[in-house]
Amino acid sequence: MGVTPDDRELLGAYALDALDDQEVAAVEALLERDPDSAREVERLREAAAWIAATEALAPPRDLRSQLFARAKALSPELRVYRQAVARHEALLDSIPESALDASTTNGLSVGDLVVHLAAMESAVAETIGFPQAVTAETDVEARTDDYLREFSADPLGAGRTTWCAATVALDEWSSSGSERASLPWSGLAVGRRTILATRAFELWTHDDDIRVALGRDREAPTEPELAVMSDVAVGILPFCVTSNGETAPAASVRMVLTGAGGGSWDVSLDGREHAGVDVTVTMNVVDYCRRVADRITIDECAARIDGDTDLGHRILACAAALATL
Amino acid sequence: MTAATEWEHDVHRRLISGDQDALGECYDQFSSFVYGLSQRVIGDRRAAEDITQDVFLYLWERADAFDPDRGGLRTWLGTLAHRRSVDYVRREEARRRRTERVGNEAPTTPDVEEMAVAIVTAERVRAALETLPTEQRDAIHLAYFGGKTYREVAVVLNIPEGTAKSRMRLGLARIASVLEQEGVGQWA
Repeated sequence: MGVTPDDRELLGAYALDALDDQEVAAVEALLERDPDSAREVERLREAAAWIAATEALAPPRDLRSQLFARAKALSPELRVYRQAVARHEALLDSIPESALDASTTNGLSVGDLVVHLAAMESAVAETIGFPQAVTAETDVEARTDDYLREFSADPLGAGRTTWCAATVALDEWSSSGSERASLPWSGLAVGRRTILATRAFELWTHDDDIRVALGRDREAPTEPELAVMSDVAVGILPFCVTSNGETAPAASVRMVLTGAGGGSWDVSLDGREHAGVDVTVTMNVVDYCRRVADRITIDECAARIDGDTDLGHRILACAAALATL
Repeated sequence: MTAATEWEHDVHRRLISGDQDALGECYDQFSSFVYGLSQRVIGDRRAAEDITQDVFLYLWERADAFDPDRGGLRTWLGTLAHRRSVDYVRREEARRRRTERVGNEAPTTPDVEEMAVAIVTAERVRAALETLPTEQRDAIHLAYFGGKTYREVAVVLNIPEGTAKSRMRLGLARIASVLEQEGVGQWA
């Protein structure tokens, strides 16, 4: 679609926030398709920001300490969760209606995946009192199916609305509750930290699914996100190795995840103390997260296994169990 | 469009990695700018304080949303602060309750070098604003500091809506040109 001078006539008012919502949407669509307009808006916004600089005024002295008190009160997990939520919202903004039927990695369409996330986020939120709107079902697939039926007319709009409301409820619970607060999830009492990390993990995973379906590049989480997500993903390894009903091996594993946000963990798989580690698995932290999400195969992990090779492979095979929770 | 400085790239990386000192540097550098803008648009100290905190908390939570390859931190924070301030004004109709602006507080910025740059730049912007045709300056002021839409500006100035749009765009472009000619962007 071509761009006419008339289309660009709104750019000044846009840079000054002097448009109504419909006009903002029209200009933002224009900016998506016309790099010249996008450059002009950046230039006009910069000019506007310098106009604002003529009004600089020192804030009250205690505002700085108030800000830092709020920043410090924000746990790394809640910060990561909020980042994941905001990034998902931005992604939802960019999904064209025409792409809703595109297939994603896990078999659901883009639209279905948006609804699936609404089903999952609301399931967690319902355990803290979020009103149950669609179903009492807790099985992942059955619950998603119920939501897909309910939201079939408007998966993007209805899915987003429900998902947003659930994230707000979860955020409020996380901001106000005790550090040791926990939720019942998959038969376990799961701590706040783990809940937030796993929600961020699922959002990142499905955001990547959507990006790939839309023909875009996958994105790696930031360093703090990886630090939180990998810590939780390594911590649940003992649960993962027994999730298929097998007995936990009497062994200890050293997970060495390389790259920013990685680290090293010694994990007892049976909960007992061991004199040393039986196997060391070394791999990239993003690859590990993608393996845990079952988005890459063991071969694609390029993991180095030192020690008990069979155990190392079993751990990498079981690590993807998180994806089924 | 002005590229971000080396400091902005550095502080961006540190914010993403969770370095609170980086937040402090940003606050010291830009809090007067953000607070002054919010106060000017809203005319309510308490609301301007809330928005200033929210803007910097958003920077802390969502540093990844700022892309230094697309522009400077001042523009990004200014856009954020202005949008939130205008939203506040429109939502709360705060203009009706606007208190008289306190005019005897000097513009300040905490960092000595930044202070010098910002003051000089602000003077140049004031001068650039003075060179604008009055009708363009009025349109920009009513929209930017008054929180009005271009349609409301058109009504206030008794001009066609298309003229209001044009005046805003032309006026801003003219200020951008003046600033670029004077090399202001290199310091931003």
